[in-house]
Amino acid sequence: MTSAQAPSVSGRTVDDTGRPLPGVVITVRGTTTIAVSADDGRFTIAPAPQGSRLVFEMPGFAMREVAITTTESLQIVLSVANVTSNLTVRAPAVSAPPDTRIVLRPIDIVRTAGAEADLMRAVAATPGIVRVDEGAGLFVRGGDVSETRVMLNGIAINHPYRHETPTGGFRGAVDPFLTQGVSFSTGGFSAEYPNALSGVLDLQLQERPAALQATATAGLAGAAASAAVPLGSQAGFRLGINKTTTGLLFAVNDAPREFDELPHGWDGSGSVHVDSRRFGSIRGFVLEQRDGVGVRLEQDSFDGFLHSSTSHRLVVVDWRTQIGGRWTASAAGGLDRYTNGTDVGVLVVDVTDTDHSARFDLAGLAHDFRIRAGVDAGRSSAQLLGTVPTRGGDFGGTSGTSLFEVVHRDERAGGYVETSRDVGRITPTVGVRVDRFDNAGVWRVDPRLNLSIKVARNSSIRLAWGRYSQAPSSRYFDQARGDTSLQPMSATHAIVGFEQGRITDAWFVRAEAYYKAYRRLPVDDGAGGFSDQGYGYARGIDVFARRVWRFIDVRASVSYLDTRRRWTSPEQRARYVLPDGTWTPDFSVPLSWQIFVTAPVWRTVSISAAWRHADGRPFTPATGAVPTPAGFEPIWGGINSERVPAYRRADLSVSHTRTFGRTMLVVFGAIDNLTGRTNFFEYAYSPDFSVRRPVASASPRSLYIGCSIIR
Amino acid sequence: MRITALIVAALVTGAMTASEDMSGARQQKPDADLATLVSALEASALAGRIEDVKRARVDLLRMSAAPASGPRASLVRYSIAYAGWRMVFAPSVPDAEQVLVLEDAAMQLNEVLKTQPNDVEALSLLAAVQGVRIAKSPELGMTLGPESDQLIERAMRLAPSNPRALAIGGQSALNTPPEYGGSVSRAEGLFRAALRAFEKQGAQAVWPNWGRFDAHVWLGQTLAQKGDKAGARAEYEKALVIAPESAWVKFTLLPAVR
Repeated sequence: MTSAQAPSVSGRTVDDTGRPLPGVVITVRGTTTIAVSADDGRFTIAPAPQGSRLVFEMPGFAMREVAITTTESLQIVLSVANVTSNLTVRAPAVSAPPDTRIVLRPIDIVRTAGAEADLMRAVAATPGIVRVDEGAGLFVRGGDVSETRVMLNGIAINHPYRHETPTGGFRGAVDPFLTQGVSFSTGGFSAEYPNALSGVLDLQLQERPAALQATATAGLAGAAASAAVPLGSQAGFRLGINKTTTGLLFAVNDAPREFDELPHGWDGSGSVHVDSRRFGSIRGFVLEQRDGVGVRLEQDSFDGFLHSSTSHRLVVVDWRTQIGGRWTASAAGGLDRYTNGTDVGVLVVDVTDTDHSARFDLAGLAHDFRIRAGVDAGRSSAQLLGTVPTRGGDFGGTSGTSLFEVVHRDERAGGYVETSRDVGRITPTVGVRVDRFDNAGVWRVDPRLNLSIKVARNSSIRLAWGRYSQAPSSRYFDQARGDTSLQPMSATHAIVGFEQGRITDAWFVRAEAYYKAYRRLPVDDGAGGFSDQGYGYARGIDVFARRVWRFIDVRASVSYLDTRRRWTSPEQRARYVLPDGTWTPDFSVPLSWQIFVTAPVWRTVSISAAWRHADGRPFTPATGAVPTPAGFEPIWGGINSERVPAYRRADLSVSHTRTFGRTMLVVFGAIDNLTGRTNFFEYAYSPDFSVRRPVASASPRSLYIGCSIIR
Repeated sequence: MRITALIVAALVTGAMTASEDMSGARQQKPDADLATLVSALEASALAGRIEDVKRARVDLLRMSAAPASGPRASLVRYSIAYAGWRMVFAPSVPDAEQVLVLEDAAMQLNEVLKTQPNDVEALSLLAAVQGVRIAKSPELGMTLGPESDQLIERAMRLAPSNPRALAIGGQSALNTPPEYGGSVSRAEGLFRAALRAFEKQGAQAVWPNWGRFDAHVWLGQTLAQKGDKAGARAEYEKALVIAPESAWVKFTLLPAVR
């Protein structure tokens, strides 16, 4: 019902990140005058006289009403109606208790400058995460990377990284494109999460496709294609394939390291979805990955090439249904199979890890109580065979070599119940987990308490306390030398926090202080094996703030951490003579802060920038060396008694979107490490350990460009 | 090491944009299947899936943006109003949205009545919409109360066997204070008449065909008000046969008469 002569109003609808929103319905309140925003979010509505009011509606977004007071073009920002309910798939009726979780949508991941569109790297940009290198590992609040549990629709992923390293890996194994979003908890988390000591990254797969869609992408590092196909109104499937070849990328930019086999790989994924009113929603998902690399490695006095070849398969099947509208039942089962062959210097190890897991959950309301309960179980089988240096990290083999043989099988079964009820301004949540760790032959009962106190309309205080248990990594169970009766590790979290606003609001701030006490950590027993006599603590403060001003989204965080522990990672067995008491672990970075800005600079152009700063990570200096017939054996100073220089990095990314009918073209570019600063995280040594040199940064300044076509 | 970094970026960006883009384009097609849409709307309403009801309403609004006239355009407007009326019973819909949605529902139905003044379905639903507006804002009762009464009386006069007119008439009688003409007995009679009309109409009636569930629920509430818990229970159980997922019936109404 538009008229060219009538007063009209034009503008553009965008989401709260500045992205155009097509399909928004705009009406002049109280009339039949209506318009729908176009592919680029633009709209014109007439007649719309001055003083009348426009109403904006879009599924999934809060309705908005705006008075017409200007003849200039309007910019209308619609906010997501309820992000949490979109992401909390397993139990929409009753969500988990409030904790320190950060929710990221795929668009947030893509727009985090320097995250390289990687899920893990984007999560690593949130507060409470320590940066120990240029990888994607999530070291949460003084915990090792292995203490963060990654789950996909409730199923544990035991190898959540690609190109794995002792500090995690270079990228996440799961493409953010496959998820509808992630939530990340850094402490005091729900009793529903088993076998996690420090953090939980909960990924939720995409739902059934609602529309046919195909995508093709090419860039300096490879090509990808995907399709989403609905089958009628209740079923559909998704397929995707991604091929990585880095030759062109390293021809345009300097290679960060020397390679004798360029990093390469592919992955394919598929999912099938069926929604039935009678049987609920059923989804099957398969991910298959292959990676390979040959890269120069410098460690201690070793300088040589590391070769690695990996195969990874992930299968998840899940089901969900509503029972009577007030209860939700869900079940999931999964397989995670990982094989890897690595050779570097004298280390030659073949790994086969197979993990099965399953769970069943119920969530609902009983009178005024919100109740969540469930059971879960997991079985892991690990087989590692090969030869390793006698001293951890001595790839040159000066200390000799020994057989490495892990044939480890462990089973865990557990259950939880959690309930909460609003009592005026206070919402207490009480939960408990009970787990049986089969290999250790013990039960663990872990209570968890959470208290949320609303102190003002938009502000709350949170108090949390809980105990957490986790089975030690299979890497500790070397039959050739190690102890095979390690108890489950234990941590106790205590948290005090303040929060104002919601993360989706234009203003949000969260500050948390925490203290964690660790017990039964694995530690080198001085006889070639490990005992569970380790312990330690971590304490700190995390502050996170977000401000959206017009279309400029600014996020900033600062973290302070103090941690010490008596603990040995599997890779550092027999590396040091251990002192009494505790010491600073490798991932102790006292102060880190970062700021991210995303802004539209033109109608179809968006720019993101990031600045990160972190104190240097600690390292153990070699203070001398002893000559032996096989070479020089280092004499180490105090464990992690020195620090490398501070880490600083700026990143920039730009994207340009054009629409041609139903086809969309996205051109993107990024410059990583814009200032070209040489960050480094460790030192290598001359053969006699008399001279040390920094190991080159894995992320020099580099340019990336590519394009994507979507129809 | 960058590997597939920004490829993924493009894929994610593309996926989201295209999804929004294509759904918007698809739903704006003037030849979209109205029957499928209202069927999905009714299923969502009965199941209490309010987000899907909202989605259907916006789809119908998009449909109404395309130039059209005649009975189909009226049916689209009626369906928009119906979706809006359903939405306001959900506690998750903010008050401000409820006001806008109800106002729009009344406007849509008045548009229908401009061209089809004797449309019984539009008259009945408009009476129901105005009734809810009064319930939400009692100060409107002075003006909308008489209007609502006149609308439903006219609808029942024009089509004495229209089940929705009868059911909404019963609802009006139940909710109107006795001093203004309300009557529980009259309400019960109208609900029973509505259910008989639904029986005659059969299950395969064309849209608008909603209301059987509501008639059972409203009759159950009437019986409960009269102290007939067993009768109320029986009606609620019949309602659950139609909408087994209705949390309102299962967890609020039924426990109250046990």
